[in-house]
Amino acid sequence: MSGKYDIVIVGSGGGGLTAALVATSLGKSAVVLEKGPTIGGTFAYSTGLAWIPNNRHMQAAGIDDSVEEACAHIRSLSGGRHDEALLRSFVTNSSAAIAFLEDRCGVPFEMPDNFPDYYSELEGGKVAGRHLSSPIFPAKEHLPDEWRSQLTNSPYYAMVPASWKEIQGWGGFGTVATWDWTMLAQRIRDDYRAFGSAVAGWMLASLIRQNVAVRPHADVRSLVVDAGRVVGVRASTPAGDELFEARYGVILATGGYDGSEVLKRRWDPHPMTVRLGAPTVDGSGLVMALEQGAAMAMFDGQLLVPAYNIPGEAAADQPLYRLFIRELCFPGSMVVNRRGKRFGDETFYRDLCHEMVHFDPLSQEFPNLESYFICDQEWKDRYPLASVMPGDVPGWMISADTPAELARKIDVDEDGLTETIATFNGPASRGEDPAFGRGSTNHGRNGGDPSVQPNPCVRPLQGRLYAVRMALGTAGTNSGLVINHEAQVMHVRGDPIPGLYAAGNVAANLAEGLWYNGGISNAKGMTFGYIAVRNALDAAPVG
Amino acid sequence: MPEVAYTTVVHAPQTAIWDFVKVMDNWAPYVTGYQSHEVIDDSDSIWTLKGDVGVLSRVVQFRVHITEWAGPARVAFTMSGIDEQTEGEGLFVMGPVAAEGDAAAGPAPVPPRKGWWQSLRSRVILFFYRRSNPQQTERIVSQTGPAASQLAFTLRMKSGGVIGPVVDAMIEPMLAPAAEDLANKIANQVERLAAHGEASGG
Repeated sequence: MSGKYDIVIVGSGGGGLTAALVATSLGKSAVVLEKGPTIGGTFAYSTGLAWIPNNRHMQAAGIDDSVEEACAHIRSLSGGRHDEALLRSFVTNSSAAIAFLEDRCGVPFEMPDNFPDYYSELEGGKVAGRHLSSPIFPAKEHLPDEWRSQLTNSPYYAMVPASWKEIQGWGGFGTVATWDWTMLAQRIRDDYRAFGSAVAGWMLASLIRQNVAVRPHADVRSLVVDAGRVVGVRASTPAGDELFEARYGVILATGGYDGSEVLKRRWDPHPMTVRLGAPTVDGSGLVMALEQGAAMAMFDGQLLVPAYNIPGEAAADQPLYRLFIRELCFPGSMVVNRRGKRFGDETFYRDLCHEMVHFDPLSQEFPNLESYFICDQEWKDRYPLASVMPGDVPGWMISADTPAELARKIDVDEDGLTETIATFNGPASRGEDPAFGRGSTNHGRNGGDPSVQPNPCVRPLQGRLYAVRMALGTAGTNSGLVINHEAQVMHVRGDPIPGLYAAGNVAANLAEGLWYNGGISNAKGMTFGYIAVRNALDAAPVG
Repeated sequence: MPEVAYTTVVHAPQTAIWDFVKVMDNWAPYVTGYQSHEVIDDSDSIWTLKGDVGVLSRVVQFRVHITEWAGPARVAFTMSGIDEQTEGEGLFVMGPVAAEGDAAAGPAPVPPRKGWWQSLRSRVILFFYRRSNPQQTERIVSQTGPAASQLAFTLRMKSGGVIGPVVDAMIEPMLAPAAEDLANKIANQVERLAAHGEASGG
């Protein structure tokens, strides 16, 4: 079933689905080729949040923002590693891409309350408004049965079919014990999707309504080049080896290489990480572009996140590692290394992960890589840990009545942990953390427990203690293809490769450099998918 | 409380089914997601199963307690999650094949399967379940077996705690295929043993 299309899209995450919607809405034909059995990629695994500055929803809510403010914010925090043209292209087009998806494609977005930027206190930062997500997606209502089963559901969020706006309205994840779980159970029976699966669902439904070709099980193996221009792809499908020709361009939206142990070991300077994204995100698009001479930019490795595994939990036949971010913000907890010492602000995971991959040349080891989350009885009584609800104590969770006993059980230095907790508890009784500043940022406080004052992230650890082993996880990669402001993939010698575009994590972090904010990967995928199609259609078609 | 029931005809005497079912080791590996089990005594055992909860799977342990050994007609048990707030109960009922519409002649008060089980959704779930569980057993109906009997299996499960309703909603679609699979595998094995004149008891 080979074919010729105006736009050929490789990958079905936010970037690929947006590109297909834009092409179709502009009256052109498109095909989405997805390697896996379901549609959505890591985008559907994700929170579904997109960081969109100067968007219409924040304007409607009376929150001031501008392209200049957002550019200034990123520019001041990029470590000088951003590309100015790419930054402006992203910031200028991101709100336009969302408006296009809403107005032309029927993909709804809304603004959850109380989502501050990571660096909201710094130049151009905002305490709310730049994060958008979709309302819950009623899959039965909008997708035929055969497509419902092919919409990726997130192993992390499938049990919570609620929108971010709803969850924030219910008081956030710290209040799960008070949520209406009977209502949520009915939503599961009715196949409502949420988070990234909801956004992908709204997009997929729009494509299916318009009879756009969406092909799971289509494993693109190579780009087809004619006279220096990329004119199609070859894919292995259940029908055999298929050729998909592109009149205007091929868009790579294949994600990063966080699912490839080989590429991570070759390219990234830190210890091996566990994957949190879709298993199909293995760098295949990146490799195909490199085969055609594409330039690659190396950044600071991966989007590192703290993670943990509930023993026995798996997805896609691999141990399932969960994000360990929000739990670290709740008061009555800390993270320690093997010496029983804290090493960062637990309420800001980027700081924590930076320290986890710190290599000490004196000892030739990563002193913080093996680390443990420690919480006390009150933490356990009040907050959830994935499906472990407040008050539940599963057998795999190690506990003890004293720091020394807990340290012995987890093979951490006894004196170190005892001293660390004692030292922490003094100022913590006043809501202070002079060592690492827990709760000193809007972002950290937003993740804490507002009922605990004066610092929603800090109080002494008391009573029985619990420990969970942490892992170093990856939610994406930062290195990748060099693209220009029109999403064209650049050749290593400096010119764009004609006919080849990239959107999302397959491209390097050139729009933002060393800055990062939650929702930026999804935002870049959708924005550069939008940019890529519009620019590809400006070129003269092949044939 | 999610509840499923499945009944299949077995071309073997009722006593042959009983002889097979009364030895837990015979059919334990046929339980969906079976990893291992440890017999504690005649009534109690610890089972380790790998269960699907929507898009993720989890290895869970249950303490199983036999509440009724009433051969050759009934075996009833309860199950209790060791690390999970999930409780359940199961019932095997063996007897002569019930005539259509003759509830009194049936071996067990098997609830009629209707509603969602008959829906397209269930067929889709069963299709994907079988695709992802290649060991799923289609019933192989014996053409030459002796007098037919009937094996009915009923399973009820309920999850507790705050999120219990959500856990129940996610495991519901998997219960019916699991019950059907277990009953069919037992029936196939009992017929095979009966056809070869082998004793199935332990």
